[in-house]
Amino acid sequence: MKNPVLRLQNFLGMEGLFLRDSVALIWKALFALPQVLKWPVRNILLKQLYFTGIQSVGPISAMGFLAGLIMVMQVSNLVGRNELLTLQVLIWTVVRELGPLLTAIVIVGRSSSAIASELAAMQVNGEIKSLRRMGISPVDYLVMPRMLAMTITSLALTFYFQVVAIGTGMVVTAWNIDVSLIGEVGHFFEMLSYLEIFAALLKSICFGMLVSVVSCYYGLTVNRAMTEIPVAASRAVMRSLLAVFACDGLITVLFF
Amino acid sequence: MTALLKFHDVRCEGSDRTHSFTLHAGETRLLQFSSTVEKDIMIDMAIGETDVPEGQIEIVQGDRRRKRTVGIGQQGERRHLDEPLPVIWQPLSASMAGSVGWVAANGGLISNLKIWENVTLPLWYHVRREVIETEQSVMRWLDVLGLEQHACAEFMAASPYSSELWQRKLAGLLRALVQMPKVLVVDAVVFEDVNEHFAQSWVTALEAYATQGHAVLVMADKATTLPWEKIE
Repeated sequence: MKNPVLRLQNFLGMEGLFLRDSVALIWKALFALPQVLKWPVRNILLKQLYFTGIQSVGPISAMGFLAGLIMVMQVSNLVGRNELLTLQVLIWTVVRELGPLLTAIVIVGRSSSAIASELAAMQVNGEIKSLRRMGISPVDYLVMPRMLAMTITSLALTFYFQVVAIGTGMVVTAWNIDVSLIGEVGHFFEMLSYLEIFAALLKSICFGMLVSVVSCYYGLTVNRAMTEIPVAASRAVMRSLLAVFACDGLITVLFF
Repeated sequence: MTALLKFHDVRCEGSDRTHSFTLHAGETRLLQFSSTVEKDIMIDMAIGETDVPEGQIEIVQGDRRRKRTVGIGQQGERRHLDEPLPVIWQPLSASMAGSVGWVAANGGLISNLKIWENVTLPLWYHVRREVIETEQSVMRWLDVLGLEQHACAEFMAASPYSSELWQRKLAGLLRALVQMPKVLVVDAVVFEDVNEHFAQSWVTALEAYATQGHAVLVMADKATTLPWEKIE
């Protein structure tokens, strides 16, 4: 297809299709939430919580610690011995942006390609068809528990990241400019607004849901060729990142 | 005899042959097709995975499926905005909840589940059986299917990717039998490449299953030595 107009038309058509199918998938997965009471579905949910959540605690801890340390050192270099401004910058960056965003990036890196390639392999091997032939809906059994697990995980890991990053930042500030740590904690809670907490919560929920749905979408829409598995995984990662940044931009514009 | 499954002039696309027959409780019959593709399409139609393009398949004591005009999008194919959602998004046929079971040529197992999880998955998903009852049923059918008592634990704990083909077929057969569907659709390839002892045990098991008020329909894509009466 050499005509650029036709290529653009095709591209926009495929994007529209992707959006429509993703929304439909989220909708169906939300309706399938009661299925989590069934043991096989709950089992998938727990496995996914372990894989996406528990196994990500290490990387998130390291990133939170380093992010807090780097942030405070850079801000101190910029503003000097100003405890309140340093705290304010920590809240702006870690609570509003870095917490949900870096957590989502870790989740994308760890789980997006894994989910997409696992589902794509199941599709290629005919296992999705087997599920349907057993009367088990792939959306109920595969998509919904992954979506729920990643949403819960994103929420919990974002909170954990923020605690580690801000905690590190406060300790470093207290040690660096010789102020009381308890006093810093008090100032932090005075400065933190409900809007910031709500925006961070909303972002982490949306990011978890988006990453899981995009990954499942690309995993489940492959054809029957082995060569499509790495393509699906790669697309899932890129599209998940794009979706996370687009959603972040939207929420930031709406709230701040 | 109670009729359990009726085919009325059923024809799949690309074939010039129509199929009309009635399967009664207690019967085990063989249906032979000219190609693997035709057999696979017919299995899909019989268990309700795809619509019947021509004719009608009637599941007695279950739901009725008729020819539908609404198409379903194929997985992975390039679609336009006015086209339907992929097939995996589509709701499942109500008939699948227990009326028709299926045994795949290669067992049809889910690779990230152990054999025992594969066997119990449809049972526990559809919440039909207690754990004790499931365990008793599995042990009874494993015995009928010819697996030695001492090999059962190891077999059930294995993963599909570390199991041999005959073990995966055995697991698929076991999974279908413990579900106890009214009609069991079996791919005849299941009986290929397994040793004589198991092939004979599996034939006996299916006949025993049919005598318990069920029906078994074996679908083949070539001439076979299986002992059941062929549907002409």
